[in-house]
Amino acid sequence: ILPDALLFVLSVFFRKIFILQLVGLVLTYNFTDCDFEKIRKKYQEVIYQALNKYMNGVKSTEFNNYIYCEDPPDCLAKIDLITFYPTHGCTTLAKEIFAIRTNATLTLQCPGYSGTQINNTQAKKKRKKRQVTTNKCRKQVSHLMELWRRFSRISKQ
Amino acid sequence: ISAYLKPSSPEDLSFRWHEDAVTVTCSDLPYKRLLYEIQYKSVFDTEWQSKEGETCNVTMQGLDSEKCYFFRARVKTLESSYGSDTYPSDWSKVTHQQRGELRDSCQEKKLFPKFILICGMIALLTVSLLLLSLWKVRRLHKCLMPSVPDPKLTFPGLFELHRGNFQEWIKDTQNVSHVAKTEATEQECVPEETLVVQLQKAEAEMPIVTTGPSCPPTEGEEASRDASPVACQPPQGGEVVSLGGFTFVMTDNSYMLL
Repeated sequence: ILPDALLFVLSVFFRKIFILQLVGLVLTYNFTDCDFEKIRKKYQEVIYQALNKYMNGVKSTEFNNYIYCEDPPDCLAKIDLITFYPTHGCTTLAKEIFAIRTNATLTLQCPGYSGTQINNTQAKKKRKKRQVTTNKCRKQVSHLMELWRRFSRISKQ
Repeated sequence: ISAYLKPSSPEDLSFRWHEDAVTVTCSDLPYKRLLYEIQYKSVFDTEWQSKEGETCNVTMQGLDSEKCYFFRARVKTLESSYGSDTYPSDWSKVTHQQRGELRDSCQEKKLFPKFILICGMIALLTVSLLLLSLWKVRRLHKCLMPSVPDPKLTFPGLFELHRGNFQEWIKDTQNVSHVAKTEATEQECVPEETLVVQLQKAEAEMPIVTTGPSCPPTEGEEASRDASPVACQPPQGGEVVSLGGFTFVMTDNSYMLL
């Protein structure tokens, strides 16, 4: 009887977790209601310098920056994804200064954008030493820069 | 792709003056995040001054509308929007403005070639006058201080053939006999007697005219011994030389040895 009860509880628990994760995946933030002009200004004033400093003189044209965004909400969604979600070879850029500034800007200018996502992710993971800037990460950041440039050119004045 | 982008040059600049400020406008390019750079300078400035704006509507303060100004414009991209691998556009054609009006060029440019021309002509004139005065001075110098005549010309062959020996030269050219050396006093006298004789011979050959106050008699002994002057008609073609009470008539073919 106990194993059946335990099995039942566990299955319910895992089901809920699965559903929550699914919901999290499906319900990504919609950047349509953001103040694009203010975000653009913040990018020009503070985020751009931080991205440049991260690249440390390496030109973005050295990488194949074939990345494109359709409109300002699409650009912000992709920026959000590359900045705050780990990829193979570059686990996270979220601790970098440009990421912190991006998070702060989006939280301020996008109603309902939750900056706690990053905090929760960071809290759950182990504290890591600041990872050495790899070529893979530079490539990620050069994609980011290209998205930001596209965003600044197409956002309405 | 925004890398290696070069915008086109702005055209048709227009100007609006208001006291000491001017607003320069042109057509905006159909792209965002560009910088429109306007440069200006007056005829007295050596370097351009620059002002930028995000639209082609840039106002510059502190200008003197009485002065003639040069203006030019170009378009640059914002590095944060286009990256660092872009190029600024070419400069637009330079426009000149003075007293709120468009000019073909500023005055300094017009004066410059004229100024050069005038200076050149003055320099040429000065040099010509200098050369002319130099030539005149040389002529005057020749006139006031003539060069010493070369005896070579007067006595041809004296230096070339006879090494300056006048007696030899005379002997050769005038067919005069060589005078033998005797006692010193007699030597002094003998040449005179000889001279007298020679004078007589010469005078016999051609007429002698003296230009002096008195003229010696044609007889040689009387000429050497008679101390009182004898009045007579001056001979033609010769000069009268008085020396120690003695008077001689000199012609072109005679000489005196003392």
